[in-house]
Amino acid sequence: MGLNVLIADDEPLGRERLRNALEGRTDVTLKAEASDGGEAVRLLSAQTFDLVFLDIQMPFKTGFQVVEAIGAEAMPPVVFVTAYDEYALRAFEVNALDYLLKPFDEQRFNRCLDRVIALAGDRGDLTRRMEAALAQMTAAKEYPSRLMVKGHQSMEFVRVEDIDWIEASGNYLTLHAGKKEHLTRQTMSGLEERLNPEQFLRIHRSTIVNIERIRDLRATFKGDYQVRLLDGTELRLSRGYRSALKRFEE
Amino acid sequence: MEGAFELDRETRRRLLIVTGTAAGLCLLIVLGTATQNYARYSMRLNEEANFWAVMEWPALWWSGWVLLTPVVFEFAWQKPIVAQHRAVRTLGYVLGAFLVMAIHDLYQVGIMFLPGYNSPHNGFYDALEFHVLSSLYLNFFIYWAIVGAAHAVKAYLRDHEKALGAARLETELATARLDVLRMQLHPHFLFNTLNGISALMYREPKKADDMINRLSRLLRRALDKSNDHEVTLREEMEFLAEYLEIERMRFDEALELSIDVPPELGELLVPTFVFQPLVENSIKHAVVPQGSKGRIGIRARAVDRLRLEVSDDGPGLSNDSDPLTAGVGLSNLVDRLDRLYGTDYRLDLRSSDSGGLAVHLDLPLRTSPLIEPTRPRSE
Repeated sequence: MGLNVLIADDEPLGRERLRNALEGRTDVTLKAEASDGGEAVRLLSAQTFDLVFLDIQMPFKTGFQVVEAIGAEAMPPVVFVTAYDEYALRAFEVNALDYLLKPFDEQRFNRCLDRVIALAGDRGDLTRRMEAALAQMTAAKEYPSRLMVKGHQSMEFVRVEDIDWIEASGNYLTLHAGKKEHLTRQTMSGLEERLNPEQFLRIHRSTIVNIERIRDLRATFKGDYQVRLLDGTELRLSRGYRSALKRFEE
Repeated sequence: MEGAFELDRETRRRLLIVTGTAAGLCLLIVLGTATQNYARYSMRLNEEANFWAVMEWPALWWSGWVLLTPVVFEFAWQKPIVAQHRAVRTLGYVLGAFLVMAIHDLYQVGIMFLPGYNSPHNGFYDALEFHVLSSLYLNFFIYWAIVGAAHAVKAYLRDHEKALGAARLETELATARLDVLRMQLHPHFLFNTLNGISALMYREPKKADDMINRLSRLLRRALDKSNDHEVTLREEMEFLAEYLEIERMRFDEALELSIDVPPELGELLVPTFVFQPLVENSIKHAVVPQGSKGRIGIRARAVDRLRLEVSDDGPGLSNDSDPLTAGVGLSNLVDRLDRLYGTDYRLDLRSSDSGGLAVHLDLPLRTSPLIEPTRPRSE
């Protein structure tokens, strides 16, 4: 009996390699395996583990999204595993988090495992470092330059820079891009997350606008703003979202 | 709605240039004609001539064209005579010629009958008749010159842009030689494969050895082809076969393939490594989530376009999970297709017969490269 370990990796051979490496240790026991991020979250919330080997690039949820879903403070000590990820490595290095680069050898594996076990006592410090790494990853997040929009029968690629503004209507969103309108089944917050906040501004419960398309803003007597776009479209910035403008003020 | 009649920046700029050019040209012509007439009257005919008086008639004529030129030019720009509407539009421009000439005559005569203007004519109809008859030929010529100029400028700019685009594409691809390798054979794939080999070593050394050999062949091919923008479909299929074999090993054979690419299409050109991101996308969305067997179909057909299809039996488009995520991996491919073909391609994703995802890519049918490879093949 030793520490309970969870392995989360989408590749069978990836899990097998970790399993092999764990067999050489007497102080750890493999308790469960997950083959994608969603399964990892389910296992982590249902059972307790002392240690997690967490692959970063997994379908549905990345390793970071798993940590986010569970919460850094509720997360057992983690060894991140990755084949290649520049941003993630920087975040690990800066915040002294333990990681394994695939492929790895026994020596590297054992050194890493020993370190995690030794540092596992200081929960507060671990949580803090994990949160810092998550924040760094969010900041370094790459935003897609194109969105795929599900049309009636097929998908269309819409260049993000072509989008003027986005309007929510029921369960659908309309992407206004020049003279074109693309209807997509998507939630406002889901889409907002995929757009660079430097470029897109949420100005209303049901409106996101491309900052570069704004011509001017006019305050209305109700405390709202009227946002006029270059093409003459008029949108409303509701009071609740006025703080979105704060960072542009001098 | 406000803004409906506002012109976009490019149109405003074009109108400004056209109007400016027309005004400049007309001014030159007016001054030239006036000078010539002045010289003729005063020297040859020995008449008392006033320079401003001889300028009146040409100024009146040409100012009409300064006003009409941007209208005619813009019209020809927006609705040029193109192959598919040749007859209708040519007829339109012939009728347009008479309309524009009529406006020009009315403008001229109209000004002459403004109060205070000393008209030499006996009434409106006399003036109109005189102007129509005396300007018919020249106006007709000017009208077609403007229509022709719009077509010529447009064609010139299009060619220029095309040449510029080709040059840009060339430098982009030359400066980023290893990009194809880096983008298509992503390090993530490379290191995960190595990690898979590392795992297999303990269990099945022969299989591990096999995987090393496949990976080497794949790498060699990728390095050899990384400078070519396009390869033949046959070469692409050979590359794909190696790639798929490795993916099968990575995912423990949980991958069922059906490949239907007729050998007679082998010499057609496709973008280098075009299938790889599409198949990778299918594996990610069909094989991995199911955990068991995932089916991937690869097909090529040629009628008047080359159609490449990759379909799978994954969750497809029907699931309500974020439909946008599928696009991230394909974005690089779309960028490359944009650069290679401009608008001459079509990529769409739809539901496959089995409810999964089907990607259709339509390409022009070609056997000679768009752009010559950037270096001679050498070892």
